[in-house]
Amino acid sequence: MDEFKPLTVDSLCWRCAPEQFTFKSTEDLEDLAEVIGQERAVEAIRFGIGMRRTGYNIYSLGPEGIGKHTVTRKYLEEQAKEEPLPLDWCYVSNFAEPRKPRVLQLNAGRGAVFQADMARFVEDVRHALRSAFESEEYRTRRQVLEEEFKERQEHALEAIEEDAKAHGITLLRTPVGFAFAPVSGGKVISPEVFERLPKEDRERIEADIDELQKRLHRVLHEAPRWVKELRDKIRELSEETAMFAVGHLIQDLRHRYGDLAEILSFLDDVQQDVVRNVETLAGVQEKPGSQGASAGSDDGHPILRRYLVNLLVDNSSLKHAPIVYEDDPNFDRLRGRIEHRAEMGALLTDLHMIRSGALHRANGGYLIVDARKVLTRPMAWEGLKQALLIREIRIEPLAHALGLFTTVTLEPEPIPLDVKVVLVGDRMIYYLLAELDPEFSRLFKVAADFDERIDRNDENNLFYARLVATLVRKEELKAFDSGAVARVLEHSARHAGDSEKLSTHIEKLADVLREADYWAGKQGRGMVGAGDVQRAVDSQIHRLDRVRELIQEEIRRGTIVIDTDGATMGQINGLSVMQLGGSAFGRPSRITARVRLGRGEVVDIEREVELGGPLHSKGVLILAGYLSAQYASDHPLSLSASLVFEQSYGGVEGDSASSAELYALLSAISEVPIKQCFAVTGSVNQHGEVQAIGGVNEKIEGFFDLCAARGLSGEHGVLIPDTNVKHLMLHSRVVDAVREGKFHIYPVKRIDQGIEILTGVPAGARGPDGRFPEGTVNQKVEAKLVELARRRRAFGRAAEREDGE
Amino acid sequence: MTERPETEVPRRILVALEGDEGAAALLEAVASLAAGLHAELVGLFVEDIALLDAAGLPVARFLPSHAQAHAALDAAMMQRALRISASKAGAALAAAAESRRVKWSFRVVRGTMQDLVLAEVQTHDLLALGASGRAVRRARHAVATRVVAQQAPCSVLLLSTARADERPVTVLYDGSQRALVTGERLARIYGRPLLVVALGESDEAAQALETRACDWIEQQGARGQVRRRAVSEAEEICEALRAQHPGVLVVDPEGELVRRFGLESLLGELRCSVLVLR
Repeated sequence: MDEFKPLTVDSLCWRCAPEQFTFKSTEDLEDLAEVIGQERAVEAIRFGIGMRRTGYNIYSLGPEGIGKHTVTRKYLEEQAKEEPLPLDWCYVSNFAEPRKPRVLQLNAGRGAVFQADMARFVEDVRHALRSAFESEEYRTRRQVLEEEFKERQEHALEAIEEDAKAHGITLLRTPVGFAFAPVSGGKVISPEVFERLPKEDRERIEADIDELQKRLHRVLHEAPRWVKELRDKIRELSEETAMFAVGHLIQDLRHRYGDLAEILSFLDDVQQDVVRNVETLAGVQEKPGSQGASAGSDDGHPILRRYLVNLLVDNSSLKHAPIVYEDDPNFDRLRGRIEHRAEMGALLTDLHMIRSGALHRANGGYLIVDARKVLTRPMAWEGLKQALLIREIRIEPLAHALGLFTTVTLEPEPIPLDVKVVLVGDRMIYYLLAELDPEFSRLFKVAADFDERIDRNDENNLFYARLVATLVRKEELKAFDSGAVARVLEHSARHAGDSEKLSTHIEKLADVLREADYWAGKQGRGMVGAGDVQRAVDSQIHRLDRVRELIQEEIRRGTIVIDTDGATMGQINGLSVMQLGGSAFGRPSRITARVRLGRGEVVDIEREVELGGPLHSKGVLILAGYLSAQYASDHPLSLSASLVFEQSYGGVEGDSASSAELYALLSAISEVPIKQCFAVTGSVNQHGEVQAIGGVNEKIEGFFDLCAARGLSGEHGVLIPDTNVKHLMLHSRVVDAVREGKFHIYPVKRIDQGIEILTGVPAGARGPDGRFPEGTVNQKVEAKLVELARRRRAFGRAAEREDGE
Repeated sequence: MTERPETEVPRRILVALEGDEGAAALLEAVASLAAGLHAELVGLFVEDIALLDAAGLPVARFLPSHAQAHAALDAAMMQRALRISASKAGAALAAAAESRRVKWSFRVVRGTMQDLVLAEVQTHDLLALGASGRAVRRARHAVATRVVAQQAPCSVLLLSTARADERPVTVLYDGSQRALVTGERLARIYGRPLLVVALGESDEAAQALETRACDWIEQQGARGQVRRRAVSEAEEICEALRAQHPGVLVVDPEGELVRRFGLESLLGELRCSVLVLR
C-alpha cells in the first residue's frame, strides 16, 4: 500500500510577509490612479466611450461591490472633460397649437439668460401696456370713437324722434323694446282719448306709426354693424397702441438673440399674441406685494405665463459634458414628466409644469443607471430603450404610454437625444437581457466585464497595497502599517477563495479597513496593525456566526449524529457549505450507503424525495457508471444501492459530495469499514478521478472545528481534491493544528487513493491476469458484485422455471 | 389745522329707478356712497304711466332692439314687463346695500317720474338718478331729469353708466366753497383722486381761483390736483370739463359761473356722473 502524505503547513495558506514591502505604512504609498486587475473592463469602457455610433452604449457587469460604478465613472469623467458643454433646452409656448409646447435650444448658460429676459419682458410688457392704455391720449382716442358711435346712434334715433314729434308721436323705450305712441300736450294719449278721436285721425296716426316703425327698424338693423365697426376701430387702436408699447421691448430681445432663428420666430409669435390679447393684458392687475410674474410662479396671469420660458435643462453650472447618475430610474425620472396642480377639483397643467428627466440632464453626455433598478420600475426599461432607439426624448405621462388613459394633456415637442448610457449590473441580468431582449443587443453593444479576482504576484501585491493606502486616505482612516497591509492581502486571497488570487471586491475590502481602523481606535492606537485587521475579520465572522455555532453545538450534543472516531461500513463524513447572507461555513454531514441484490441502479434518496438538485443527482448517476466500468465490465451490475445524506432536511445541491458517496458505496459493497476520523469532499468522474470543488476552506474548517471541540486525536483529517490545494487559505487555527500534527489534509487525485486513506486497506490494482490482488478493497468489491450477478442469474432461472410450471 | 366748512351730511338717500338696465351699476355706486356717509338708502321704482297708456293703444307695437319684426303690445304685457323690471331692480338694491351693510328699503310706485320723485324727495337729503346714455331715454327723460335736478330741494346725483374706473372726482370750482368740501369728501369715500378745475371768465380770475383752491387743499391736509382755465361760454366750460375725463363732477348751481351759463346747459352736454348741490 502506498503511503499518502498529508499536506505540509506551507500548502495550507499563503502568508504575506510584511518584510517583502519596502514601505512602513500606507503613509509611504502613493494613491493608486489606475484600476488594478480590470484591464478587460477598462478597455471595454474606453472603447464604448470613444465609439460615437448608435447602439454603442455600455453595460458594466460584475458582482456587487466590485467598484463598477467607481471605475466606470472615473473613465467617463476623464472623457467628459474633453467634451464640449451640451446645449440648454427650453420649452416655450406654441401659440398655434398650445397643447404642443415648442422646444428651443441655446448654448449652455444662455438658456437661463433667455428665461430671465422673458421674465423681465413679461414684467415690462405689463407696465408698458398699462402706461399706454392708461394714457390720456389713448383714452381720449377711444372715447372719441365711442362718442362717435353713440352720436351716430343718437342722431339716427333723434331724427326719427324729431319726425315722430312733427306728427304728434313720441318714441318710447319700454322694458320689452321701442314703441311709438301719439302724444297730446306732452303726454301720451290714453286709450280712451284715442278711441274718441275721429276715425281719419286714428288711421293717420296708425299710418304714421307704421312708417316710423319701418324707419326705426332700418336704424336698429344697422346698429349691430355700427357696433362691429366700433369694435374693429377700438381693436385697431389697441393693436396700434400695443405694437408701439411693446415693439421696442421685442426689438431689444431680437437684437440679443439675432443669431437664433428659432427664438426670433418665437419672439414674432409673442408680439402677435400680445397684440391679439391686448385688451385682456391691458387689464392685468398686479397683485399687492407680488414681485411680478416669474418662471415657475403661479402669480402670473395665464396669458402672461405664456410668454415665460420653462428652462428645462440649465447647463450654466457645468464645466464639461454632464455625467448623470439616476438613483431612482423610474419612467418619469428618466424621461421627464408633466406635473399638474389641483384647482377646484380639476387637474391643470401648462408648459411651465414640464419637468426634466435624467435623459434631459445627461443629453450631450453620459447617463449611469443601475440595471436592476431600471428593470424593476414599471415601463422604465421600455421608456429608456424607446428613447435610445428613436434618439429623442418624448415626455408623456406613464398612463398614456401604457394606454391606460386618454385624457387631454400637453404633448411637448420631442428633444433630440445624444447620450451614452451606462448600465451597471450583475452578470445574470446581462446574460438574461442578451438572451431574452432582442433590442438589448442593438442598444448595448459594449460589455465591460469586471473580474472579481486578480493574480497574486509581487507587482499586484504592491498595487493592492497602494489600493489600501488610497482607500485609507479616501475614508480618512488611520494609516495601516505594513503588517496590517499584509494581513489585508491575506484576507483578500481568502475572500477570493484562492491562494494565488486577490479579490477585487472593493466594498468588502473597504469594510475591513474601516472596521480595523475602528478596532485600532478602540485600542487607542494611532496606526492600524495586523492584529486590528485580524480582529476586524474575526468580528465580521463572529457577527454572522450564530447558525454555524448552533449546528456545531447540535453535532457535539449528538442531536446531529456525526462520528469522528471509530470505523463503520457504508458510512462516511461528507462536507457541504452553507451560504447564509454574508456568511459561509462548512457543515459535516453523515452519508450512508446500503446495497442488496438488484438491477444495477444506485438510488439517490435525496432525489427520490426531491431534496436533491440536478447536479447532485448527476454526481450519483456517475457512480453507477464508475462501478459498471470498474468492476462489472463482463457481467451485469446486479446490485441495488441507496445513498442518503442523513439528517438533511433542506435539500442538497452540487456534486462535491459524489466522491464521499462513492467511498461509502465501496465500503458498503466490500464490507470494509471507513474510519470516521476523516471527512471527504470532492466530485468524481466516471474514471474515478477526483475533481475540484468550491468552498474548500470553509469545508475543512467546518470539520476541524467539530473535531477540535471533541478533542483532536492526531488522526483527524480531511480528504480534498488535489486540484483544490491551490485554493487553500485556511484559518490559522487549522494551520496551527496541522503544524502540531493534530490534524491532516490529504490531497487526493483518484478514488483508489482516497479509499486507502479512509479504510487503511489497499485499493488494489488489476494484475496481468486482470484480477485485483486478494484482500484489497477493489477485489472485495468485485467479488461481491460477481456474487450478486451470479445470485441474480440463479434467481432469474428459478423464476423462469416457476413461470413455465 | 383749519376747521372744515360746515356742509350738511346726507342721512337719507333716495335712488329713483325706472328700469333694470344699468340699475346694478347705478346701485353699486349709490350704495358705496351711502356706506361712506353712513346713510340710509331708499329705492323707488317708478312704473311710468306713459308706458302703460302707450301699451293700451290699439296702434301699440313694439320693436325689440335685436328682433327682425314688430310685435303687438298690450297693457297686460307691459305691466308684467314692468313688474319684472321692478323685481330685478329691488334685488339689485338689496344686494348692493347688504353687501355694504347699508340700511335700505324699496318701493314700487306708478305715475310720472318727475312728479313722483319731486314729491318723494321732500323727505330725503340726496336724490340719486340714473342718467342713461341712450338717446331715446336722454331725449325724453333728460328733460324730466333736468327739471328734477333743478327743482329738487336736496342735492341730486345724476349717475352715468359710462365707465368711470379710477377717474377723479372733479370739482367745477367757480368760487363755491361747498363744491370743494363736498368734492374732497366724495373723493375720500370713493377712494379716487380729487381734481379741481378752476374756471374763471379771465386768466386772472381763473388763476385767483386756482390759488384759493390750492390753499384750501393744503389747509385741509388733503391731496388733489388743481387745473385752471379761462372760459367765456357754456360750451367752453363743457369742453374744459370733458378734457379732464371726470368720474363724478361736483357742481354748485349757486356758483357764479354756473348761475351765469345755466345748469341745464351743462347737464345736457356732459355724459359723466354729476352731483348737483343744494
